[in-house]
Amino acid sequence: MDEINEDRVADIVEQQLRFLRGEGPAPALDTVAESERIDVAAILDLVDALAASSPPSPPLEEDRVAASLGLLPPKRQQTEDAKVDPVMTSARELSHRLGRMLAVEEPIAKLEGQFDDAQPVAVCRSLVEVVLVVVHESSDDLETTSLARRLFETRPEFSAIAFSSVDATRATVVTYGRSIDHLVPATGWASPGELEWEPLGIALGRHFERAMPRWDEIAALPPGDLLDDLALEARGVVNDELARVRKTRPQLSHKQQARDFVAGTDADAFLSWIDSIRSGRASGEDVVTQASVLCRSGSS
Amino acid sequence: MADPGNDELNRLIVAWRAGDHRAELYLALRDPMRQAARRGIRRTLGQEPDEGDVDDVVLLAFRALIERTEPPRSPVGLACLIAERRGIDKARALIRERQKVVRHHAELTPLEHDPEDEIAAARRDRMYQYAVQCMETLTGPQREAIEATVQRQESLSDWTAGRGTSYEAGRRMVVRALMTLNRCVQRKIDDESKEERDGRDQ
Repeated sequence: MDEINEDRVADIVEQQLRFLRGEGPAPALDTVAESERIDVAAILDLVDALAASSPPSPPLEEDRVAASLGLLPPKRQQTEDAKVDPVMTSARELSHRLGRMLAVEEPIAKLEGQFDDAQPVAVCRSLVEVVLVVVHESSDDLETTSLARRLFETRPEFSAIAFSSVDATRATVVTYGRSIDHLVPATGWASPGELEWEPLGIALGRHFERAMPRWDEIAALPPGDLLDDLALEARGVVNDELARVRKTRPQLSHKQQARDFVAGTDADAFLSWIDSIRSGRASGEDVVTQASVLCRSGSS
Repeated sequence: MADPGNDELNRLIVAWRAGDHRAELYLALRDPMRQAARRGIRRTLGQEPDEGDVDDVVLLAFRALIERTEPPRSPVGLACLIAERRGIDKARALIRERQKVVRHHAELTPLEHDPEDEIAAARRDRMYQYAVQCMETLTGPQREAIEATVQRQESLSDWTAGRGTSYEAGRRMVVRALMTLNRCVQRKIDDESKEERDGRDQ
C-alpha cells in the first residue's frame, strides 16, 4: 500500500469526489498499475461509503419523517410552554429545510410597551432578514397591520413580523412596507392591503425564500450575451435618434447649427459614452464634460 | 445506533406491519437512508441537497420498503437502494420543474434491481460503519479534512481556502487520511471474514 503513487491516487480521489458531487465523470482506473488497482478501488469504495453522510440526522423529536410516520409520542399537555410548541416546531422545520441559511433563536424577553396580545416566540435570522415571530390570535387585517406598525416603531431592528395562531395553522408575515399606508397615484393614500393568511411554515418559508440571494441562478446567467444585446440595442436607439434629428427642420439659426452638429456627429461617439457609463468607467458628469469638449471643438 | 443484523431487521419490518417496534426499525434505517437519498440527489442535481427534499425522499423510500411483502436479502441494502433511486427521481423532478416540464416531473425510476445492487449497498453501509469507527485513528486535521471534503462534500478548493492552507497540502492530507482509514477498514473487514469462517468451522 505504501508504494502507491500518492499523486496519482490524489488525482483519482479528486475526480471521484467531483463525480459524487455531480460535477464530472467517474474516474477510470485504466491509468493505474495492475498492482495498485485493488488498493485504489478500495479507497474509492471508502470515499463512496463516506460521501454525503453529513449533516447528521436531526434529533428524533425534530425529525419530520418520524412525525409523518406517526412515530413521535403524543403531544404534551397544554401547558403554557406547550401552547407555543407548534410555532417553534414550524420555525425549526423551516430552518432545517433551508439548511444553514436560517437560524431560529429561542424566545426573546417580553416586548416592552402595550403588546399584551402579542406573545414573542422566536427570532428567525437569515443573511438579510431578522423576523420576529409572535403568537397573536386575530384574523383582522387592520388590527394586525396596526400592531405590526407599533412593533416596528419600538423594535426597528426587525425586518418583518410573523403573526401566527397558537397552533401555527394561520399566520402571515408583515414587512414594514405592508404595515403602513401607501400612495396610489390615481386615487391617493390607501390603507395597507389585505394580508394572506396561511400555515406558518408556508408564510415564513415564502418570505425567506424571496429574500435569499440566488447565487446559483445569477452565476448561470450568460453575461456576454446580455451585454451584446445591450450594445446592439444601444446602437439601434442612437441610430433612430440621429435619423429623427436629421429630419427636423428648425427655423432658428442656432437650432439649425445644433441640428447640423448632432447630425454630423459619428454614432460611435454616443455609443462610447453609453458604454463608458454602463461599465462604470465614466460618470454622467464626465460624459457631459466630454460632450462639451466635442461641442467646442466642433464649433471652433 | 446499534447495528441490527438482517434477520433482526426483517423481523422489525414484519413487526412494523403489526404496529410494533416502529421507532426501532426507523431508527435503524434512517441514517443510511438519509445518506443514500442525499447521494442520489447530489449526484444528479450537482449541488448540495435541501434537507427538506432529503426528508421527502426518506419518507417515500421508507414507505416503499415496508410495503414490500417479500423479505429482502439485506434490508439496509434495499433501503439504501430505494432511497438513492428516489433521491435521483427527486433531483430529476427538481430539474424538470426548473425547466418547466411540469407534466413529467413525477416520473419514477422502476424499482426492479439486480440482487447484487442490494448486496453492494449493504456492503457500502458496512464499510461506512467501520470507517466511522476508524476515524479515531486519524489526526485532528486529517479527520477535519475527511469530514469536510468527503462527508459534507465541500470542494477541496473551498475547504483549503477557508482553512488558509495550500491546495496541494490539503490534497495530500485527504489522500493520506483516506489511506490510513482504508488500512484500518480493511483490517476490520478481514477480522470479520475470519470470525465468519471460524463460526462456520465450529
